[in-house]
Amino acid sequence: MKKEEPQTSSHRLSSTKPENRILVYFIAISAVLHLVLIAGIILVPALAPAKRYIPTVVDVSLVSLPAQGSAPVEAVVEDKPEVPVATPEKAEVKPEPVKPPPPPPKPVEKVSIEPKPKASKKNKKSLKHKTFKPSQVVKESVTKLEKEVEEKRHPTLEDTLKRLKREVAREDKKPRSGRAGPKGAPSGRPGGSGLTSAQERDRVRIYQAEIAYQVQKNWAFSEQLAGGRTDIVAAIGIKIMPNGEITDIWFDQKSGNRHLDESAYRAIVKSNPLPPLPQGLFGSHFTVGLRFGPGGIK
Amino acid sequence: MLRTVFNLLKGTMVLILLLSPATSFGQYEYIDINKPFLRKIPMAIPEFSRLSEAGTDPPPLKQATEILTSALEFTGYFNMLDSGAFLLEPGKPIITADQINFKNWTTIGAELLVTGGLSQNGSLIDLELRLFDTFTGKRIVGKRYHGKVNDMRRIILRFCTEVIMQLTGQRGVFDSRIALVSNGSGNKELFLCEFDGSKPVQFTRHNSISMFPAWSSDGKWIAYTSYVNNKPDILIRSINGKEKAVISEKGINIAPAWVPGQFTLSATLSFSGNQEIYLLTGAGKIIKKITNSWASDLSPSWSPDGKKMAFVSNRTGAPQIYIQDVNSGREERLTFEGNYNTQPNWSPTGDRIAYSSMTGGQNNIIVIELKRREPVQLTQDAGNNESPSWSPDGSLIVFSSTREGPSRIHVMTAFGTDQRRLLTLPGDQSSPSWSPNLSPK
Repeated sequence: MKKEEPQTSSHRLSSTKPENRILVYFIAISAVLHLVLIAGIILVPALAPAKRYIPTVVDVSLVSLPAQGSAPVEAVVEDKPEVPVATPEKAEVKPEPVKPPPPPPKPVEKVSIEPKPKASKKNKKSLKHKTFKPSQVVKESVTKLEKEVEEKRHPTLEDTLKRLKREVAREDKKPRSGRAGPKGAPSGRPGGSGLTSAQERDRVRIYQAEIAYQVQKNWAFSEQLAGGRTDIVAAIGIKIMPNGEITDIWFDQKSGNRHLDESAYRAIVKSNPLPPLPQGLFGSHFTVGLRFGPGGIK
Repeated sequence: MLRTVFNLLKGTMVLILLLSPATSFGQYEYIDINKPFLRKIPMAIPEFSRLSEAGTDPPPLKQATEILTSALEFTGYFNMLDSGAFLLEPGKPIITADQINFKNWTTIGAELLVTGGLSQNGSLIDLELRLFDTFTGKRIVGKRYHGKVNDMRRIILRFCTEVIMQLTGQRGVFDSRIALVSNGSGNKELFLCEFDGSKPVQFTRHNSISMFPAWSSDGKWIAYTSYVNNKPDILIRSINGKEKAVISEKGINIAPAWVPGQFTLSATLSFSGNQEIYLLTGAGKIIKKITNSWASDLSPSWSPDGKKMAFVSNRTGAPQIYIQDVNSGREERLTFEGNYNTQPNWSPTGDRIAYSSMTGGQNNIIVIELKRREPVQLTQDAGNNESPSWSPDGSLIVFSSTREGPSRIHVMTAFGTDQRRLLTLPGDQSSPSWSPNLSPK
């Protein structure tokens, strides 16, 4: 070994083995590249990250409409405070086509079962007018709306209760076609309708989406007012009658944030009445939960 | 046989348990509602009524209503409903719950209602103010005040503080002020104004350049950079103007920032030959050196707990924002997007930092959440936007902007919405700094 060593070195110096030369060559290139890289990092440090996209904020002001738009405006017609069933039904846009005390001619004008959104849209416009050109309309609207409000809101509580009792009684009398234990499952288990379970599920989904749409539309919530928190949730249960009226609202879980709890409650009150229950899908009522959380805000 | 039936039953039960939604609280399905259609709470404020035990003079009902309305609107929380849509019976006072038909208010979409009653006796007024939830008919706040006519604005702002306190648990911004720089006199001088830009008063008269005002956390002191000695020094002045101190080391002395809860401040001094951040007493004595790098370290801003300090350093070549844990001395880089990030301002809520970032030749305000480290740009395509400063409750940001040509002070919510001009003075305005809440509670 010892003897050979000088040989090798002389080899390297003079004539060279090709591999060694290549090795030296590459080491040199590598060193240069490293230097360039280091220099690059020091001299132009911020180039690379500068390209990332920064989300921006767009300030959008949505035009709000008084929640109840649908009910009050359209349902004017005649004053008949004395027909207890008629008034509340009117308030509910489109009642299920029931038979009860022959309701005044109004069902003719408002038949529709499906196009709930459209109906409310139409009303939106008229209300908008009202709010935007108040000076002219104020006087009329004061008297008119007040009358309406009186008719529809005030007496309704009592009347509604009466009516509900009647309805419940009627429901009870009805032959319970294929419904299994409606008491234990108020959760909107589809009742006996000629639909397949998949169809039923779809229709339930659609109805739930309608609820979500309407409640969301009425939900006024300021994330700032809630301290910018996004991790809070308020869960509220509601009971919906066939005509869409919400007869009961309760908290399953309060969020601990007063603003969220109150705003959620108001959104539901403002959304009353909801679209009528799809026929044949639910029992005497539909109980469903609404979970409010600002998680979707950014 | 019995066993099979039993097993079957057991299986069914397990199946039912599995099928029921795991997240439900009640016995039914839940629909998730995540996107409120309205981001502001619809509020109605009818013109104040005359209190029944009316005083000798006609009270300034309209003026009082306007003060209240504009103060609450300033917060950005509320959407003030057009009074033309109100369903009112002319001549009937609306002050107490029994005088209010809440249906009239829910019908027009109001969720909150503020009523006021006012009477005046010579130079004295009585004021009753109430906040109602229109849907429950509940009174959320009710206050009765007695004071001088000249103090009416202050009285009404105090009620606004109560309202915001009830709704958010925070005191809001109504007893805060804003310091700013204006060059209307030909020199850059400091001015102070109310939270909403009203009542601007000149604070310095150096006939020199004064910039970068910073409030002490008790609101009693302002430190700022001044060229009154023909080089940048830091002057410390009490708000009542009586006491003063100067930091006048060799080289430059700039960009002061007070440590929350203490009579100490940090500032950039260059007497060592390099711009480093030092901790100093309120009297201007150096306590210690905070940063130590070969680069320039500038613009300190403290976390509300006083444990961390954000600052600007060009140690990587371009100015970026860093955070130092002051006890351990550990430093980390906060901003990686953009290559010119300056003027950090730590939110009083502690969870965000606003800063100014230059991209494409324009400065814009960016807010970065400290947890997620995701920057969000709040201004864009509106001139140069600089010097962000948080309101004491962290709900608003004041900044300077050249969107209208000359540099003006603007304000926006912490989310970048509701951007508006705060005030207009002759000349250019810049370097706004929002005070803490000034009247101690």
